[in-house]
Amino acid sequence: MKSRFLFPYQFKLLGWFLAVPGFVLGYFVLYHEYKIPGFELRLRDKDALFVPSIENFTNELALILVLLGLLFIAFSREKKEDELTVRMRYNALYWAILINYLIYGVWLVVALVHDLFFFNNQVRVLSNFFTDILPIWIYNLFTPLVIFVIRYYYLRYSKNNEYKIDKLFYLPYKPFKVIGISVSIVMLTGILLSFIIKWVSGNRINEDILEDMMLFLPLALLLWTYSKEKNEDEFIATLRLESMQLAVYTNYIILLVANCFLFFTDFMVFMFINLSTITLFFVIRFNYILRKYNKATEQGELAS
Amino acid sequence: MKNNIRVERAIKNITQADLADQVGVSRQTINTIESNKYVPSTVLALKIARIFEKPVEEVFILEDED
Repeated sequence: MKSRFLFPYQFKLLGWFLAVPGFVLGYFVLYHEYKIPGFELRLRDKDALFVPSIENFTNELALILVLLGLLFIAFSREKKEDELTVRMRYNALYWAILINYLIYGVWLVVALVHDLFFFNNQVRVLSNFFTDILPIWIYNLFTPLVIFVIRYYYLRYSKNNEYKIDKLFYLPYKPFKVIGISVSIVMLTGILLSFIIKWVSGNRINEDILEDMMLFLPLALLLWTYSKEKNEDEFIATLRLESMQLAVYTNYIILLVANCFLFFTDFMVFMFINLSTITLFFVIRFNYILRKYNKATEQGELAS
Repeated sequence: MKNNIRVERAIKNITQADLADQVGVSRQTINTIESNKYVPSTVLALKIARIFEKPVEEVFILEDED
């Protein structure tokens, strides 16, 4: 395995200088509604509902600092890069995404239970005290990278003489893959249809169901991502790891772009979509390449 | 899979760092392979065997559970 798409070694330090101020600024934005005075533009003539005329860019700045910083820390080369450091990085990333979404799953369950007890059986995850304190759709913008960085540094530095590597974790093919695929596809279709109906006809749709699907989709995709192929082997495992790296990169490139061009409710919707995108990009890329190879092998066998 | 890298190094009288330099990996990587915690790629295994001037099967040995 060769290392691909990594920043130069020196970017690691630069990353810390961006991420730490970014986190401090982000904390004040999120919990104290801090805005850098004058760091704003007048985007519209009039205030509209949820869309004020003046946009202050403090929160965008904080997110850019945090994301760029974390990306540099996470994906810059080692001084001495070799196949084992590449492998360590790949496996740690695969591990980190799993842990990130397991934590998300726990959050979702706690939020639901909390609603049941405090809101007289009105289960609305998005409108309660618990989600104000821990808005996971905001945290999830950067937790995959944070968990990865912690894990990678632990594997890299916990022993002086030796690297540690994560074992890859999979669920068995049966029944998890089938469940993962079918639930994901049903939800994805539902979400897509809802968006299309909303845009085309402008009709009111049942936002609650849409919201719930968007909240549970990450878990369905998680099952799909982390269950074995029928004929899982070393080659497929490598394909998995590469696909995960590409999925994470794609996710963050899109996120950085969205952060610069989407504001207010648009970015809010984007954050909900973003909950699912890493695993979504993973299943798309992984299955596409796997199909391609399978086809090539079949043709090769026929030819020989 | 187990390996004889430690023994072969002793025979050639080279350190982990020497071997690491010669095959172009880090010293930690050689140590992790020596302690059987990482199975190297075929390319790296062949490079290591070449340093010791032995066939790869004499340096890396398949075990029953593999």
